[in-house]
Amino acid sequence: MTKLKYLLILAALALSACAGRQEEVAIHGEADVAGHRIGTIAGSCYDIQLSPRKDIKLSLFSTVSDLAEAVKAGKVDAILMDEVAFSKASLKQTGLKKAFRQDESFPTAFAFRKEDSALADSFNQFLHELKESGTLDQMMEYWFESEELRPEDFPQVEEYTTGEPLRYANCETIAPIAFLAGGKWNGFEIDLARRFAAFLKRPLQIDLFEFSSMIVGLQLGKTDMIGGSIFITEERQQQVTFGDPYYNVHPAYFIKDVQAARAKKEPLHVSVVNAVRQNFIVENRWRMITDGLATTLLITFWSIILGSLLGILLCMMALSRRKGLRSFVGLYDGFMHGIPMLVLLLIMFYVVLARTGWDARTIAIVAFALNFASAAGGVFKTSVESVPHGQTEAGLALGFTKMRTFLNIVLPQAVRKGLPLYKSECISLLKGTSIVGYIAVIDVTRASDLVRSRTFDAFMPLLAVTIIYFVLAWLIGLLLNFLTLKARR
Amino acid sequence: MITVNHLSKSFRNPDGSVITVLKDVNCTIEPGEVISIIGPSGTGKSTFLRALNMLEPPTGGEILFEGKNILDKRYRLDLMRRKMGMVFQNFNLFEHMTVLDNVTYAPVRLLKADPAKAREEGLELLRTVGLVEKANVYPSQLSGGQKQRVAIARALAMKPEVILFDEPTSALDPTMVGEVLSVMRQLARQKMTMIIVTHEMKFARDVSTRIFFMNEGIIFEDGTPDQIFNHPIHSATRAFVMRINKLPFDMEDDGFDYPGMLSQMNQFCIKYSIPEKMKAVSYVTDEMVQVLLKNFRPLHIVLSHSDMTGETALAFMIKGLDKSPFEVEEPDPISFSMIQGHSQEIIQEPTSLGFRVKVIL
Repeated sequence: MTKLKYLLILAALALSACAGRQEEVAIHGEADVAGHRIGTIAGSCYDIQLSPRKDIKLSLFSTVSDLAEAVKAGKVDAILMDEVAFSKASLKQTGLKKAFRQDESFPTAFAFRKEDSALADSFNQFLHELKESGTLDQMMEYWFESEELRPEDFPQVEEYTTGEPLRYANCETIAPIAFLAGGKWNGFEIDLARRFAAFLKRPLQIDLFEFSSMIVGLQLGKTDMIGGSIFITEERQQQVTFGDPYYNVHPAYFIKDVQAARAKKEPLHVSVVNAVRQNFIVENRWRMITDGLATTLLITFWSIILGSLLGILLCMMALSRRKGLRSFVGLYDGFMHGIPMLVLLLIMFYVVLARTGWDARTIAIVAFALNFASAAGGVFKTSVESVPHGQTEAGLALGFTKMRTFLNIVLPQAVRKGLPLYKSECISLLKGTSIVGYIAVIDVTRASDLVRSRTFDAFMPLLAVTIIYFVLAWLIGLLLNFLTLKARR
Repeated sequence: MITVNHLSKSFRNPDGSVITVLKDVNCTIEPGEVISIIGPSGTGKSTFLRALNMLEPPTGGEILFEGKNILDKRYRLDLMRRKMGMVFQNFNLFEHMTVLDNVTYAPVRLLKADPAKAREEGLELLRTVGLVEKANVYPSQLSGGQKQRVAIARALAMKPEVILFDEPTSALDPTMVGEVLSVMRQLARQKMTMIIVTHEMKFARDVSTRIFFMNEGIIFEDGTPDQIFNHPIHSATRAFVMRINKLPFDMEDDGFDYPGMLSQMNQFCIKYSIPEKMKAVSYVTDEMVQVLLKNFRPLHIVLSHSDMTGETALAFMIKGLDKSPFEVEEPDPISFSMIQGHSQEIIQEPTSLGFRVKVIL
């Protein structure tokens, strides 16, 4: 059943990727925009600018790569984005082209916490020196004007490994602003941040946030400096302190380059080989997937261990004679049942554990363990209760103590009965961890997003992730069966 | 060996009311005795038995086992229970173990018996209950009678000083009762001390050295099988041992669920293994209620069956009537002769409540 579902979804994705309009969209100036389907980033200045307009159909996306894919797949006619969001190289790769750019421009800068004006001041000093020496112009020329961006040509910047890290968060995953290549962050803003860290003689820690949660994350101290083509607006200035702008951005409309798409047609087997090469081999992109896999496994493993221990406790409380303990478990289960896992994760990250300074993976483990405890506790309780009371009585009547009756007679039978349920809860947990991307953890799902945002190919990375989850679920089942067999001997 | 003084047990219902199951139970049990506890349902027989090994802790009184009060909080119940085996109504075999493991598990784990030796003894015990060839199967593959025999072997494996039997044949198909009783008879011959809650009157009479008749939460009468079954002191005991099973109905008016009653009577016949009387019961009831006594209401009807004598009877009581209804109203001759054809005897007698027509089937 699950297999079939995956196949259907993949087929749908493949079809949607092939579909698309063959006519080039006729947008040459501001006057042509009306009547078209336009896409942009949710919560951005463009969102605010376009959403009151009744003459267009607006679709909102969360990343630039999603936007690029949407316009490529014909889901929208054009996207409104920073002109600099697509370099020459990435336009060629995505198969997009610039329709026109707007005349007005916006200053763009890094933002810092209000209380942290010292850091903002050093940034301004650093930026001033960078401008004076002409380095900034060189950087812009390299990142925005190069025909192709290859890892071996990326500027080398001195990196410090000791000292308190400068934490920098970005929301972009697309060249040339910020992107992962060869397992390493790169791009214009990353370059800038890296040079600033070197200027401070501190190591740089880079996190990936959602655009909409970046400012909150900064205010909560999850990071020290945020970037990602943030325009300086009055509203934002009340919440954070901006550094000096490093450039002004013109908004521009991008459309699909139909001619380029036509020229690119190639036979199926060649395109498959190319897709595999592009998605996994080039820039060692498979490393992103394997690193993400390690994170997924880490979160799943610890959540299962901690959640199960907590689940045992909850099960004992639920079976206890004390009414207070039982109703606590009822409340706990009700809460965990009633709240979507993603919301729980966000609450843990941004509210409950916001000021602990724990890294996002730890917080994810805590959130998943708390949720899993409720499910596991329920499974344990049902399993124990499914063993007839007569078994306990028989054990007691033979002369086993209460404890030994439970351990030697009830538990082995409960494990047998509960294992299939427990297994499916573990597999649900594994699949559930795919949402950790929302709190800046790069798991295997997020890793596939990152690959996707480099290659603008939805099919291959998603196929890889599907296979990975499928195999993992299967392995978890095998492992649990094996452990139970061993425990019985 | 076991002395019980003023034992009582009451439950508190969720609504706050208190139900007293055991009022004041007193008795002494000596080694080698085989004691059957009989009595109507709901009079605390099982509760009393389960109190003896504290599966159902009593609320008052004392139980002395080898001179020590087992209700004492510091008393090691687990050690006591090793010497006091128990056989349950629902067998309660360990479903995840083979038959042999069921028998050897407790001796190996609790008495630290050598596994190889325990295995030998386990097989020997299975041989005595006739199930040695089932040693390696799981309980789910056994019939009820076989399960109960394994349960007896399991209890014996601990070499107990006494075994409690809690209605050991009640959950069994009638065809399987015999095999279990025969194993128990064998134990009785070997002078095993046994305390048995049972509804098998014939078995109780044949095997027991002493019988407790329990009623209303006390041991109503305590005596030899001969005394209890042939010369009971109390009338309640007599009524119980002679005519154990009754199915009463009160037929007030025409709104009465007549087909429902017939169906319950059929179930009664099946329950007490007299399916051959089902037809006669329906005939007689039909003729009496629909024809002969159709003008007499309210009617109190009792179907009864005695396990002792095998006698089945249908009694029709017309409240407040002091002479036979057949004198009040000429009976339909065809109907009457049909009833006679289906019965051994028709007794017409006045009682303190009214006039009773009793048909012995």
